[in-house]
Amino acid sequence: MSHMSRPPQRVTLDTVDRDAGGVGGRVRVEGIDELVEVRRLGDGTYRVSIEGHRFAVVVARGTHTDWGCIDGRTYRWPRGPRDGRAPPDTDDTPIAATTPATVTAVKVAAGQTVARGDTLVVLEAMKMEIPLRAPRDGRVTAVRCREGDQVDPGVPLVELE
Amino acid sequence: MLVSIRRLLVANRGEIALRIIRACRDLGIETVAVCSSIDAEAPHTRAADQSVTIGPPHPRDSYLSIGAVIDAARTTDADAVHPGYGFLSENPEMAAACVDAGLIWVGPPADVIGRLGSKVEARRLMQEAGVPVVAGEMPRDQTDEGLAEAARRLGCPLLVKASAGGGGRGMRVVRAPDRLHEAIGEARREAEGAFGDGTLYLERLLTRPRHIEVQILADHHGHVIHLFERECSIQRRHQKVIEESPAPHLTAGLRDRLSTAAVRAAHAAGYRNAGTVEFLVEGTDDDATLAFLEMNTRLQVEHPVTEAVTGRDLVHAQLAVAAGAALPWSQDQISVRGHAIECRVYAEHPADHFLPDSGTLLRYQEPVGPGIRVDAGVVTGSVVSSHYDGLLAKVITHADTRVTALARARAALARFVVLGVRTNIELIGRVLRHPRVVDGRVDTTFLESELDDLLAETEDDERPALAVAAALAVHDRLEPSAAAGPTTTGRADDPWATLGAWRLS
Amino acid sequence: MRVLPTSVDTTSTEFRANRDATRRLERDLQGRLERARAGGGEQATRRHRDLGKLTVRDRLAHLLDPDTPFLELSALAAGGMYDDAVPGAGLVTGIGRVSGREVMVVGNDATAKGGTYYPITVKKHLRAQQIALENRLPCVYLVDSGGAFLPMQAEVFPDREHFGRIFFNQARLSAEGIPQIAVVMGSCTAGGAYVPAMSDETIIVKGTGTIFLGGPPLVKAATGEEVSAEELGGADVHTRLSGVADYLAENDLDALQIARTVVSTLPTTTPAAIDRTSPEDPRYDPAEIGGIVGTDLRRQYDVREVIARLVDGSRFDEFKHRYGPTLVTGFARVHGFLVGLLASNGVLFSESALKATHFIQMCTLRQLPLVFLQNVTGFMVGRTYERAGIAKDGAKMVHAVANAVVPKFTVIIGGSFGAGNYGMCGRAYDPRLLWMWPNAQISVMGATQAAEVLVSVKREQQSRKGVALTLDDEAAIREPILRRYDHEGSPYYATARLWDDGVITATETRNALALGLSVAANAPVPHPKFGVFRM
Repeated sequence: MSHMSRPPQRVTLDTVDRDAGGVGGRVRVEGIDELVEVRRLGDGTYRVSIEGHRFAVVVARGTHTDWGCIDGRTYRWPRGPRDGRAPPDTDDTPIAATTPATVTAVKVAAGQTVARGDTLVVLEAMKMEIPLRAPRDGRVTAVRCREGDQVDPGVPLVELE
Repeated sequence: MLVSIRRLLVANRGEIALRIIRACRDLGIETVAVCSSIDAEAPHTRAADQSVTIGPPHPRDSYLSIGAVIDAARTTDADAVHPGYGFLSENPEMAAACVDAGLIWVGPPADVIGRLGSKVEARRLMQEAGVPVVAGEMPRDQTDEGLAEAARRLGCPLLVKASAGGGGRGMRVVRAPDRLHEAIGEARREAEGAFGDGTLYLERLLTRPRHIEVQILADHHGHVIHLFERECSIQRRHQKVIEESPAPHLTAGLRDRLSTAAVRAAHAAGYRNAGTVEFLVEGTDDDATLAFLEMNTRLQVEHPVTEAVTGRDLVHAQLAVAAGAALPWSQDQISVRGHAIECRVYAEHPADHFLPDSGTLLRYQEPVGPGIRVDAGVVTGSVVSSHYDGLLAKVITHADTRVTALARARAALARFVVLGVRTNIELIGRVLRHPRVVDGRVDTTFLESELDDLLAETEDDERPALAVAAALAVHDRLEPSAAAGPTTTGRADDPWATLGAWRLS
Repeated sequence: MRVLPTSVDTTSTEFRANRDATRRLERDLQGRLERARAGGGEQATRRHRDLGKLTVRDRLAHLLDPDTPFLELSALAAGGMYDDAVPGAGLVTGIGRVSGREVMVVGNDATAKGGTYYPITVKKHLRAQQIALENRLPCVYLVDSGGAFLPMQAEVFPDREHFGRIFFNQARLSAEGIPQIAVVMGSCTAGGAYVPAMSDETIIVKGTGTIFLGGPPLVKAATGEEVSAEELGGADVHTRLSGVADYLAENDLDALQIARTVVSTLPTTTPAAIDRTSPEDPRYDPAEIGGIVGTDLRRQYDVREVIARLVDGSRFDEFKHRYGPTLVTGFARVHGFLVGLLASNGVLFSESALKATHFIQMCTLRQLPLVFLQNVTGFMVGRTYERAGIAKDGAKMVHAVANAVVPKFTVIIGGSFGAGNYGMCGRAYDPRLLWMWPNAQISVMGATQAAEVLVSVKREQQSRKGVALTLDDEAAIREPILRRYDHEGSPYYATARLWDDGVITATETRNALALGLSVAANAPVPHPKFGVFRM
């Protein structure tokens, strides 16, 4: 159905506690200032408070799948360390060649808005064509290469805002 | 209620087997479950007083094997057999085999099943009895050409059906003549696979009919009563998904025409025990169009809505009648109180063409509360196998008004937790909120035509997903054993498991 | 199996005196453990926490499955050494369960001298790897260490079993299919950088975890380059650019969570075929052991009273009950695990040694783990015994123990003197785990005997010169020997130097053994092989 096929990437466990009041923990969610409060109510059942709003959640973990249920909606995500942890720092990764290469095409100009996945620059190296794609939606603030340029790995070729 | 049955074998599995076992327990009847090898620890097997494993998982070799079921009844000294629905329930040979083996068959006699099971025979009977029917025929020439000939006579749209079938299997809609050939092939293959009989029947398709059926009960003393109607128009591929009783927006006159026709049909067929007469209905007024569709010679999946509004236990009545007693109730004792809705929860993936899903139920938690009945065949830990029908549970809500019954159904589904296989719970929840369903103005085309929109509904609020992710993050930490796969220290009495947070000094 | 009878009178004066004396020893042990677990002290701990880091014990608590045991090893290592600068040798090691699997955890305590490696720290780290190898336990290294303690480099760096051996072991363990996982939660400098680099999978914490061969000061000195620790070898650098680490963690908790997930994906090992049933508590209270054993090593008691309080249902099938009675042998279960048990019940005679040889050989062929309860003053001496060949009978026992390839566990429950230590599977005989009770003593011979031997040697030397020893002279020889043996024979002296895997109380012994037996089941038992038994 409508559900995202992957879990939100921006959830990290902050603290776990076991006190007289029960068991639970706090979770840091990017974009939400306060920590999200999670209390265990019973076997696999949790009360989650996000910005003062309470949710009753039931979760279970299968061999390859995480399951969660809220108000008749079921979430089903693949599990595993590799799946669940796309590097959180992709945004900082410069848009650059990974090997010495030649620029064969520049597809964008400064000021242009691009969507995630759009090809920005095409490189050629080792007889292979390597498209550099936008890692996220944004506006191009600078293009630092021209067709025919020899570029070194790691040098940012396009800057996004 | 006095019943002379002492020990009854339930020739079925899942929720219906449990339903029958419960009724037997009410009446002090001992129960025998039969199961296939993978069902040896299934809830129905455990619930019965005794159980017999009758064969491998494939239904053909177990639940559909007449010989194996009869043998099981003999070896356990059972004196009656209840077939439930599906499997052998509408197989006249099974009914006959039971009688031959000296067993009470909880259902109509073999010849009645045979007569009503044949679409052609049933139509003829009904026409003779003055029950309105849909135009249709079963060509004697069952070749593709013969069937095509009949199709031309009837005109499109039409329905290709397995003569021996039911439950939507072996059934195809043909809207334009060029699709006929393909539909015949598919229907024939499915019919052969499911019923071992590829005979096909063609019938004119009403374009936007409602599916309304009437529950009847008949005894061996010539009494027939009806228990009013059920609306079963919310279907996909002729498989009912949501049913209710009474049917909304029926005039008293139309309701009366339906019940009268159903009782007449039962009389005409020489019917015994519980059965259902299905009609297609177009219009809501007294003079709406009615057409006899078929008669189901068994207990229906959706029988609980009738039980809810009439306050009667249909399985009790089935057992009494089968044992030779007169009907426990007269027609004037039967009345409808309030409104009931049943939702069928299937292990399936609605967004992916309703493909059946299988797996282990990691968590299964039924809703409870006033006016909520759940008939289920699974528990946490159950393995949902692709060998069998994916019906996990039925949620039946009952209230004094339809509005309340609907609200109760929505609330119940929101609290129904099934994790480990994909289900249609969320889809049903959306269906129950659809304005046409809220208004009670649906026909059998409703679900298929609205399906894409229903599936495409999206949630703007991402907080629930974040809440689930947050709970999982904590859960992972608190209950790691669930996350771990097979371990080298899997025993419950392992010191790692029993010593708690033991530390030196 | 037969239930052992008991004749212990818990109301007797002797029992109560023993019990009280044992309690004093146990309180002393507890005090030592508490001090050791405080690590580098309050101030250092506060500074550590201010960096956003968890203490090593908190890390451990979050790594392990909740509500499961942790079998800590050598918690009192380095006690009384190096001016007590590194409690527990600045390293926490032990076996625990992570994501349902038994794993070896090795965690630096950065609050104690920055987690640097003293000689005993190295020894403790190597011992943990040895246990991991023998029991096929995946290793999780919680790294937060400044590397070798430079002032003692000569005792830490060059030799075979020094710092380099840690990485040698990592490579060998990895090659054996025993996963090596590092969680970098602080600095890993110089040699320390190889712990994560040599691991199969490495997790690094953003902000606090750093890995580099040379830190910023060294870089500046060597090349003049000025660079921050984070730029030089922080989490971002290593997960994005260098590939030295594999997973980036937001904080300590996140890192431990990733480690748990990593462990959950490790291949499972097939446990060795072992005989086990449902566990059963001993019929008699293990708390009574203190009242039976007491603290005076010279006092005899029947070791069966101890066995009765350690084994399941107090059931014990004794083997050769009537022969060689100073050593008790037989079969029992500990938490359901079937074991062959050898318990000292006095000085070893030829018969006891022969019985032990027979029993050990039999258990080895049956692949049955062995448990030694060691309380032995040695083999019997004297003309009769030497002539009867006690040396070769003792040798048979030592030979059998040395070649017993089944898991062996030794608990020194009293004295451990002379060749009795060898025969009863002392440290040199590779028991999978070896513990001492607080009342234990270990030395080549008893303090008094040693003093008497030395006094008589001196007396002989003097008499050859025609001089007689006065009583005062004798006391002057005897006293320092007695003091020295007393000091060096103490279980705390022993455990500080890793001569054992920890000092545990009698009541903890049953659980410790059970966990050890469970852990041992991870590794297959090799084919038994014996050499020449001198007949």
